[in-house]
Amino acid sequence: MPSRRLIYLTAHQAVVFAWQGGRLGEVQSFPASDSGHAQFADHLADHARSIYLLLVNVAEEGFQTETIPLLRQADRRAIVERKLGQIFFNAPLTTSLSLGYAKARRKDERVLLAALTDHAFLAPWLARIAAAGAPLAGIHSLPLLGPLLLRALAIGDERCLLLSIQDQSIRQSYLENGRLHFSRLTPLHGNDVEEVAQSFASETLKLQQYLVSQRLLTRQQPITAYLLAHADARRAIERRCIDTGSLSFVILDSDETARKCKLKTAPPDSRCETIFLGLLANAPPREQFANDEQRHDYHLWLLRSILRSAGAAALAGCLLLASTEVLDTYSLHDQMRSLQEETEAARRRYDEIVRTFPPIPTTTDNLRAVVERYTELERHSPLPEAAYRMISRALALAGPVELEAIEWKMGGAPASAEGVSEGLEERGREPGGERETVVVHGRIGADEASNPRQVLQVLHTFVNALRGNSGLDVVVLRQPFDVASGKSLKSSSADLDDRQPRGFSVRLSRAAGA
Amino acid sequence: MKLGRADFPKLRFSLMAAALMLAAGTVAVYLSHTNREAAQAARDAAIAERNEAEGKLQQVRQEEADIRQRSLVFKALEARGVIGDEQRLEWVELLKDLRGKYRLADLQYEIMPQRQLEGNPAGGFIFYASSMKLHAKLLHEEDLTRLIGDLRRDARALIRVRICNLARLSAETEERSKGLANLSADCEIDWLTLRDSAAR
Repeated sequence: MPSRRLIYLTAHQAVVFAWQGGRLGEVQSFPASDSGHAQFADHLADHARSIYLLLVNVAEEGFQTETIPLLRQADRRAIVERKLGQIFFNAPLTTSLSLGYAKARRKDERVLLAALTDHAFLAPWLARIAAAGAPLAGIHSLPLLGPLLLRALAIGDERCLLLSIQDQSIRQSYLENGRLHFSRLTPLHGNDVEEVAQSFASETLKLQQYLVSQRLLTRQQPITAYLLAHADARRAIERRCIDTGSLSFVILDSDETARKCKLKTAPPDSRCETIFLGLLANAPPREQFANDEQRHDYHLWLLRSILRSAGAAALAGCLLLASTEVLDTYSLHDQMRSLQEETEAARRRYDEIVRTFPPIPTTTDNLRAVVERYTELERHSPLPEAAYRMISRALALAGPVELEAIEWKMGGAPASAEGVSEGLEERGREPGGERETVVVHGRIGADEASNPRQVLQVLHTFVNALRGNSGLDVVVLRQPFDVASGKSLKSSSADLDDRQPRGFSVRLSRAAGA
Repeated sequence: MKLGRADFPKLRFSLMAAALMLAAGTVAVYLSHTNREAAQAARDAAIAERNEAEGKLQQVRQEEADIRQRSLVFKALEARGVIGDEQRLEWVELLKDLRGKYRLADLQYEIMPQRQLEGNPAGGFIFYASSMKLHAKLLHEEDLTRLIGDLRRDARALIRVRICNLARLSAETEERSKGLANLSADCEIDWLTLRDSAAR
């Protein structure tokens, strides 16, 4: 960060002050001569990276109040520049301050036009600054800092005079509503307290009379003169500066004023240029005399500063973002380590449990799958013995039934069986729903006393006995006598005279493993 | 403010510094972001791994008794010879023993080539079936049920009976007239074994 330096330029010399943290330290002074200019140039070359503010306090200046129409931006700037050119012909260092708007219907704007008129005196100094390439932030005039001083001291008078002593001169300014309207500089003959007090008294009266003559004040208009002086001079000033009917004096203590202006180095005596330099360093006013060309190096410095600041801000932002990402990464790594430990613990526990199992040459998943499949196969692999037992029990109840054949099959009806319904075939194919099917072929014996009804009754008893088994479907495939309405019935079919046993077929089916 | 050509050398260092700082910041953000994303992916993988391990642990805890029981079944199957290659020679010997044991008048069989059983492999194991057509002549139907029962108990395979037709022999047949057999049995029986697919 470059240091800030203030150049206080008077008719006799230029003094360079260094500004740091509210402290103003005199660095070097340069007489207003060729040798002084050369020394100044050397100094600037040695400190070309500092930022400079130039405060000019010379008598060769002009103030002119003008009224311009209410205009904005470019038009206003053009008319102000034209008036500055007209009033301060050939003065390159000019500026303007708005004094507010007239309350008349047109709302014209009152403008204070100011200029530093002795360019021949200022030119060598400015040339040295330009030659050194030192960034010049602005050229300011001491009276234009008067409003800043009143604001810092919270003085809100409608009209007032402000008198201050700098090096070998006394600055007298007239301000209305906190805005500068007029200022002038007169030499101070001697730094003695009594002489200072006498100068304050006499110059105040002269200024009042001048303002009356310029019709800026009326003759009996009361006004307060604020005198900026050291405490040592207070008594002498109070003796010399006696209030009149239209003029009253207020002495501003320079120590107290410096403190209110946030200046840590108070002036040692009544010369208070350091107070104005402090005001300038703390808050330089927008209105100043340097043009764009004179401030070019300062603008370049500003641009460089903005570039570096923007780069630094971007870097800082990126690093901040990166640091949050890095913190997140660390946190994620911590979580991962913790998760890995949990995983390892779970695996160890799993292995411990598995180790207690009987040794098997496969995984538990395989074990589960194999045993489940095996159990399922075993459950759906019934033996025919159970069916034989059912048939045997039914035969015991039925009576004279002689079996010819038993066709037992898993997964649907036996291929040789007739009249098997499609529904049963479908059920036999259901996944996990295999059916055990048995077709029983037999004959029912007949004697002399038998009749078809009795033979059928034997079959019905056999079938009913089978149906007593839960889950067993029983279908008669072939009757001993076919008495169905849809078929023809012959006498030979219903005749039992031949005493031959009558054949029948019954199909049994049930879910496998039931 | 107007910039001239002569001003650019004065701005060069600041421009380069700003660009370098921006580039450095961008690289820092990119690297840290990439690292974070990698760490996040690793963390997510670790979560999945942990969940899987805990799931297996929880499952094994819940099924501890079940797994023990299954292990015993598995070991029994292994010991019996159901798991592994077919032992057809032993099957033949067993059938011969049973014929003698039940004094069967006739016992004929034909074992078909081994085939893979329908359905998905159970874990890493595949079930195989070898179908056998069996024809026997019996004195009594209990000879058949005992024969099948002994097969199921003693065979080094899971026995699954598919078809079993039992019929009375005609009175004119020689066996019946001599009192050697009253019934004929025609059965289809599957010999089921299973093998580790990795050991195939």
